[in-house]
Amino acid sequence: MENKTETFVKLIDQAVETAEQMRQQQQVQQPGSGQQERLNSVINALQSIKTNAQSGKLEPSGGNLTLGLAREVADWIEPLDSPLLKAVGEIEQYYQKHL
Amino acid sequence: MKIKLASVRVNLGVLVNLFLVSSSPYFLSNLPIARAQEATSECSLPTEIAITFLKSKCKEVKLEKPRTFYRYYSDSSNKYGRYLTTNKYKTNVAVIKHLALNQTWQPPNQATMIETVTLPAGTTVYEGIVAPQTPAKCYPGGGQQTFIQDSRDPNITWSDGESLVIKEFSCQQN
Repeated sequence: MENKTETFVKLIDQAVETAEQMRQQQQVQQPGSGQQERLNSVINALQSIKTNAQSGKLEPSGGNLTLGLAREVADWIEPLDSPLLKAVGEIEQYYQKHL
Repeated sequence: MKIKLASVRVNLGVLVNLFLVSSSPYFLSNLPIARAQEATSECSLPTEIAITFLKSKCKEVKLEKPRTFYRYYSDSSNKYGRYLTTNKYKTNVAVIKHLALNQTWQPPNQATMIETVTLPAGTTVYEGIVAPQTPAKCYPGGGQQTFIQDSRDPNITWSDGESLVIKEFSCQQN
């Protein structure tokens, strides 16, 4: 596996961990809220991107393309300075710069 | 002679604009993006939000008057949010492509409805172009994108939705 892909996958794993922590908090604090479904969707998207990256099937960014993670999360996340948005933002930046 | 030249230039400009608007298969209309009297500056959003704009470029605008935007949605879970647009589209398929609404999200925003969103004077908005998303063939972006920080501001007016022309969206990735 290339170094860039390894770093990319680490960033994805960190974001998955953050999303899972948020999901657990939501289950305790606001069970049945729509945020849990959204967090599940983010985790699924992250895992799908990871699989594609590891198998070399991820479309090259060309320095312009985005993964849609930041746009999805920034639309609804509360608060806006959430660690999850920062985590997916780092993935997007790394993707644009290195992949 | 100068007056005649100016007249020709103005008329040519009008003709070009008419051609651009009438030749677009996607737009019904476009709302004005930034008004001359409103203060604008370069995008000051954090990088994780700026990156959702094409080339991470946006303009920060403080509204001096209330202004109306559009938002597209398909169910209650995506009726409200921070991303708006000034573009009015004819079909859901045009919305999905130009606003890059990836259909793999759950629940997917199928953009079957359009609503107007009126922001109060004093609101700061961030305006730019939608960045393309993977797969770029399916979600090329390129529409106008407006971002607001607080979609829960009680002074924002969200209209009831109206149905768009619905067509089947399909996009083969390979």
